[in-house]
Amino acid sequence: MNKSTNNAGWDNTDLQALKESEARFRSIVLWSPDAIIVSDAKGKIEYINPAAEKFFNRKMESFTGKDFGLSLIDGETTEIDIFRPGKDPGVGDMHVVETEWLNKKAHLIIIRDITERKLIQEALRENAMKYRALFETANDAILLFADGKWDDCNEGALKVFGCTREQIIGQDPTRFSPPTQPDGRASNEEAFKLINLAYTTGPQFFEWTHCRADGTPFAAEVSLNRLDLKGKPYIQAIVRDISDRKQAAEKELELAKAREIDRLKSLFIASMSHELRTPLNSIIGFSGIVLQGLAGELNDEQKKQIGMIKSSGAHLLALVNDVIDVTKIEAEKIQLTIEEFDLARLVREIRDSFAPALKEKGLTLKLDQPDKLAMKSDERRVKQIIMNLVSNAVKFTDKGSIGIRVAGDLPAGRHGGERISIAVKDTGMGIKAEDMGKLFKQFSRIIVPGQALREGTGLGLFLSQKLAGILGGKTDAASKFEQGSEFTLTLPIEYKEAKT
Amino acid sequence: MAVKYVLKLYVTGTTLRSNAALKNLKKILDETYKGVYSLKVVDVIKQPKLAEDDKILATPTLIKILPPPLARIIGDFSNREKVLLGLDLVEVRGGAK
Amino acid sequence: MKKILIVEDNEKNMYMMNFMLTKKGYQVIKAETGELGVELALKEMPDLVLMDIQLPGIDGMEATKRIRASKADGKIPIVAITSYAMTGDKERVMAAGFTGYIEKPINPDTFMAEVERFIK
Repeated sequence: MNKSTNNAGWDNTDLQALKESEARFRSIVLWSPDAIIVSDAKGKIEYINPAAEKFFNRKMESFTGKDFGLSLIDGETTEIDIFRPGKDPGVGDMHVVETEWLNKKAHLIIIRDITERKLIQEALRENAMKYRALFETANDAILLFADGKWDDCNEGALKVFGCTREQIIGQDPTRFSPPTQPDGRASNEEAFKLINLAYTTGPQFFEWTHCRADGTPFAAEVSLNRLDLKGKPYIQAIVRDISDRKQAAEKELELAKAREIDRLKSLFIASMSHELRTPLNSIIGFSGIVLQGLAGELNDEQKKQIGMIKSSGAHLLALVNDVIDVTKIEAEKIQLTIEEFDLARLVREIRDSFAPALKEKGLTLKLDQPDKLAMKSDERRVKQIIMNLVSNAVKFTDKGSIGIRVAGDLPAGRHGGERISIAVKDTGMGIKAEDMGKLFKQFSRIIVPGQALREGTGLGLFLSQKLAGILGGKTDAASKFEQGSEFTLTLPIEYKEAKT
Repeated sequence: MAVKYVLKLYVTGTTLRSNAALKNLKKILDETYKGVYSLKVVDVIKQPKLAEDDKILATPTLIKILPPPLARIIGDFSNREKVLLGLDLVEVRGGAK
Repeated sequence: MKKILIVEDNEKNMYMMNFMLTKKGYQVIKAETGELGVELALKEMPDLVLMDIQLPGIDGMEATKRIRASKADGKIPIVAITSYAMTGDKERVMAAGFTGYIEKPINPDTFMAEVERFIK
């Protein structure tokens, strides 16, 4: 049979078969998505496929004849970076095999483009690191819960709950909660309810009372979030210890309440003192005016009776003033007006004010003091104390004399600074030794059998002692029953605010 | 002591791969040719032109410039024998002085 | 005849002070509120103003401040009628522009003497 042959003498059928075979293999190489490079024994490039052109971002011409280099790793896959100008470097999985190419030793190099995969891997790794960093360094407790118990937790959890990791992992979620919540609900029930909600409906955010490992409860803010990891549903719990914040809020509330109570106290004292004194104005005022005869002539009986109204009014005023002072002292609302004044002048004024009373009882009052004595204190309160002492002296002395001795050069007291003393001595009825203890107490009135109870509020000495203290001084009493008494007020010559 | 071996290492950035390759290579060179080699490291990202001039296609690539012949190898340089073989270097017994 | 303006909202207190002053021969002008007090002080130019501190509307301190601020007060002496507890601070009273003060409750035996101290 006559086979058709071509010019070179090849059998046409064979040629056809060869062409088809070549076409098949060429397709494989041309269409392969992986880069295929053939280099000679020394590494010089003989052939590259279109995928290689694409991957290396270079045209065929720029490859041929160039040195790829010998791979040190034969038969195994190794990762390499692809240098491609005009593009970011790529990453490839390279596999090299020794082979033959046109009857010479050659290397078949197949490189798979894994640039994309590497980027994703890197991004994932970064994310994981970021998350891990956040997870570990967060101050709040972050815990993962699955299958009904704690699966993992961060350092923060150890700090918040005050225990080791082993004490948390494996525990059921209510291990670190008290049996009931502040509103009475059972922690168990409520916790599972919330965890379920987090699984089914979405993130939960709520306040919760937890317990530390040692049992001490603390207020916390909790957020529960469902996380699906590796196909398993986890709950991520973030527990923030807000006990500090709560404490601060509570303290703020307490302070606000205290401030409000204080404000109400001041208001009460101010309005009480005003309200109580107002009617007294009329009682004392009008009875005084009438007694002066300004509203017409009075007969003796009228004078007498209206006189009693006036003196009762004055007595009531004294009581009101004392009670208001006591209230102020109790509420610590005494305000001092500190200024310089002449104590000697003040004592003389006091003596003069008692002149009528002294005359009536036939008593003498002698002063023993320097002509001038400058001091710095609350003049009104100093006057109040001395007046009280002198008033007592006059009240409890029926015959004899009263002496006021002012000494201005006492040695320095406990707080440093000079002190002065004002001693009021009388020849009155005196005080029994056993009654001395009751002297400065509130409402104490010493009852002497056979004697009428002397008029008084019972608060005078109490106030005198307290006020003396507030001014930085003190009061003392010495007495001999039926012979007389001496009450001494000691004060710093210059008032100094006590350092708290 | 003259430098006998002049080498150039091309790497891409300061990745784990680049650092490992350099470390491995240095170890081998210091063990075998201490004091008589010079190694230049080029980061293709920082100096792409140099990489282009040297017709670098992939990294890590090590080029032996001296002594001739020129040699070019790709790999992680963890296998000492393969490195020396690839560089066409003959190990001189008794030290390289 | 000297004129005295009393600014006081309490009827009885007003009656008392008015009684004593008119008995002593003074002409008394009355104002029950701070605002009226300011108006009359500037209009009538009295020889003395007795100003209670506790007043409805603007209080005695505010009224006195306004009188002084008007610059047309002719330096009238203004005396505060004050219960010590209310003000608590003598400086505050003087700083508002008062010439002096008289303490409540009013002492009928010394009131006139205290008042006349302030009238030139």
